[in-house]
Amino acid sequence: MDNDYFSIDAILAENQKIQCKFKQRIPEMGHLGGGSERDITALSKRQIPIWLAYIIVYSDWADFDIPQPFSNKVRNALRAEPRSVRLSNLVGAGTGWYVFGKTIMDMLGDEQGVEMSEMLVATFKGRLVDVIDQAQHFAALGPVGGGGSGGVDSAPQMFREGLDTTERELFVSAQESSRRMRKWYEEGNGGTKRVL
Amino acid sequence: MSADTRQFGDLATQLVMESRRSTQTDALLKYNDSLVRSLIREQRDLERAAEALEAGIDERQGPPPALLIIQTAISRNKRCLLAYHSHRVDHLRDLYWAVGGALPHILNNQDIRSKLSPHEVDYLRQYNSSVMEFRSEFSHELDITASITNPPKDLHVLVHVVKDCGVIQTELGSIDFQKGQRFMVRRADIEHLIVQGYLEEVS
Repeated sequence: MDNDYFSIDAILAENQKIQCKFKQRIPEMGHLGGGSERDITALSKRQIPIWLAYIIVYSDWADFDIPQPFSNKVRNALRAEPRSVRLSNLVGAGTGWYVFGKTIMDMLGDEQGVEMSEMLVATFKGRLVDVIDQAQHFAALGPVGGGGSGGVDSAPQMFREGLDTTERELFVSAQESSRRMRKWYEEGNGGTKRVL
Repeated sequence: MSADTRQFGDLATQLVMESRRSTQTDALLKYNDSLVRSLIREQRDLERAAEALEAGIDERQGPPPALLIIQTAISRNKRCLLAYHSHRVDHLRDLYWAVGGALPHILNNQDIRSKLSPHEVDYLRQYNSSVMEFRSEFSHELDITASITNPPKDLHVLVHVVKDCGVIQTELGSIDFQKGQRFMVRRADIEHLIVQGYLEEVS
């Protein structure tokens, strides 16, 4: 979840590809992004993983497009109602929307970066209360998504299914925490052992 | 460029995916020696390619983009290699503390032992020495290898012997723990045997 050098999640998040439009010719690197020519020609477009795209963008050899998960359409939807968007659908399985967003943000210039940052934070805050609330409610029942009563719960269920990986971790954590508290309260009263 | 380096970072990703799978299944996987070696070979190839490019640098133009890209690929591989090993070492440390520092319990377990590389075994041994040395400095006041997840409610505990563990010294004298028997003993004396699965607490 963090941007730690050793974090497996951060490393895999940087494998996400972004669309780069090259401004100049790059000799000998034609194989990047699956090309078959020897060189990259100016104005050509390639899908490059973020970890590699950093240096290319910083050195001003290419520009990149904001990826679809953070497009204006998504931003507007989030601004209107953050809980309505299924974040898990926006990015591939196993990658977090927030983690991806953070890595993109690191590559943007000041103004765009701040805008992105504010969007990520506002979205997170807007959704967090529901994530924790549902987790505590479900602590009494079964595991996430297990046997949820279809009809009545369908909106919360859709929300749960749309959680991004970071939110999912928090959900599981909160659920576990509630369960343990409950267990501790129950044990405390009836579980005192008698010393012989 | 040879076919191996067609896509930079592919081997590295494979390695890191193993770390992720290990976390998801909460299991230690076998040390992937062949993949690590392939990665190191790739590093050497990249290094050679970088040196070749370095030789031809034009003072006024600066380093060619290809050089910086290769350097990035080298750093990426390095990061993935380090993360893989660091992740495994964290796992091993957790394992060590879960058995209360009983190193033989881990190393004699063929299931686990077969998954470790020789270096990891060395690491565990050295780690264990350090812990034991540290622990001995205040072992009268506190035993740092005792369990902390379940605070003891009683001084004594009733245990059932699951596996023979032979003669153990306790406050009551030496007791021969044989399978199927029950004893009321001081928790501190046999805590480590519960953690390792020889004794079972009877509630």
